[in-house]
Order: sequence, then structure tokens, then C-alpha cells
Amino acid sequence: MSRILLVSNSHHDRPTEYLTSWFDKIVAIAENQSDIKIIELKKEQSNKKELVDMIEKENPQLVIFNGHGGYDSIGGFNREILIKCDDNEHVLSGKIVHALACRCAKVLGKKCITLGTHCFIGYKEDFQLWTESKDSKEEHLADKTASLFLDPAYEVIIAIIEGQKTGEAFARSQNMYRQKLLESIANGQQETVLASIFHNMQHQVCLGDQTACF
Amino acid sequence: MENNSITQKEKELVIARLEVVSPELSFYVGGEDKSFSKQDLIDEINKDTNVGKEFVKTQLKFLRAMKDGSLMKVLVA
Repeated sequence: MSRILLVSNSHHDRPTEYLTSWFDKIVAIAENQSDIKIIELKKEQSNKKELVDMIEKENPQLVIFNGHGGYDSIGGFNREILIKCDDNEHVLSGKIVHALACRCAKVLGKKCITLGTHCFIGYKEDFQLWTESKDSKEEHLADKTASLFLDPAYEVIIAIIEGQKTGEAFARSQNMYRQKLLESIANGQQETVLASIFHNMQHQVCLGDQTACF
Repeated sequence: MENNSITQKEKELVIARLEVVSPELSFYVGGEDKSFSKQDLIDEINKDTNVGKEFVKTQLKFLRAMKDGSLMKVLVA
């Protein structure tokens, strides 16, 4: 195994449960690539100590966060702060980072790049999500409204796993946002929902090295 | 310079648009653990909470982008 992917799935409320369900699609894709080792920190494991220990022990090239965030931090299980500006952001140095968490690209992401993170992909403002509020993983994955938000958001990770450069992966994600918006307009999707997709698209950023590869 | 103040008419516009949203849909945002139904969002807007204000701003940006053509420019880029 030459490529190591570490993911934090905080999975402690409905929106983060949706993220975990959707992320399983990515796990399936990664498992088809024989050279990728996946390390998942889920629920209670998604805490600061286990995250930092695992980064130091396994030295993953790709670190993914699925949880809540703020401008200067990313949270784990029950909102425990995992990474925070001026505390431990240096542990992400030399890595490609994807954060499906609100706001954290704006301050934390920029700071990570100055401290040596190769590339930080995430959102400068809130990530907005509309769903049909289903309970089970199967229902989450069948939720067509959630797919308008989560398919384009995770497309960037799929592209990175498939070997594309970070800038290319970001462009692929942005193109899927466009595609979802155009399809939704054509299908008469409620404009109130479309506004949130447009919001996410406009606040998704790819900071740092656009040619980094996993 | 973006004008961050929200007028009563703008709030009413967003609420009118929310009224036609399917009752089966829930909205999640930011650091909020709870989901928001369309009625919850209408209440948040009427109470001028942060969630309500941000929701209105998102909707107004989208409407302005549709009106001035910038949405289409983004979509066909």
C-alpha cells in the first residue's frame, strides 16, 4: 500500500450521518484501487488525540474531514475540536486536505497552506444542505435532494483518488455543481433549494498547490 | 460594496418562496445540530436570527445572479 487516506467521520447528528453514508461511496471506489489503505475514525474515534496519533503513526497523504467546522477550526464527534488555528494545524503539513465542514477554508485552510499543507479543499462559508430527512443509510443514498449537494461536493475526492491533480479535481467538482444546477433548473426544482447549491458552489475553494496528487 | 441590510420586502419575498417548498424537505446549515423545516425557516427569518439572516442573504444573492445574468455566466463557464 503506497497511498494512505485518513478520514474523520464525526457522525453524531443528522447532517453528519448523511455525510458518512455518502462517504461510503468513496470508500467503495478507494477499495477498488489496490494501492490505497483507508483509515476511518468514526463517531467517538473522531477525537483530537486519535486523529493526531493516527496522522503521526500512519503519515497519510490525504486527510478528509466530514463534520462541523468554523472559520478557524474543524470539529469531530460531538464537536470536539480536531484541528484549530495556532494550535495543531501543523499536523496537516505535507498533506492534501479535504474538509466537508462549514467555513474552515477561510481562515484555517489559508493558515494550513502557509504552514506547508500541499492543498486544502473546502468551503469558505457555511455548507448548506437540503435533504428529505431520512433515517437509514439506504434512504440517505436514495435521497435525490441530498444528492444535489453531496454528489458534487464529493466528486473532488473521487477525482483525487482516481489520480487527478487537485486543481483538476476541483474543476471536476465545480463542473458537477454546474451540471446539477442546470439539470435542476430544467427539471423545475424549487429555486429556494437551487440557491443553496449555488451558494456551496461559489464558496468551495481549492487552496495551495493545484498540481498536487494523491 | 455589498449592502448587508435586509429590508422587510426582501424578507417577505424569501418567505413567499419558502411557502412553496415541499414540506418533506429539511435544511441544515453551519453549526446547527437541528434541521429546519420551511416553517422553522420562516420563523427564523421573522425573528431576525443569524440563521434567518444568512438564509435570506443566500436567496437574495441567487435571485440577483439570475436577474443580472451572472448565474448563467457561471453555469456556462
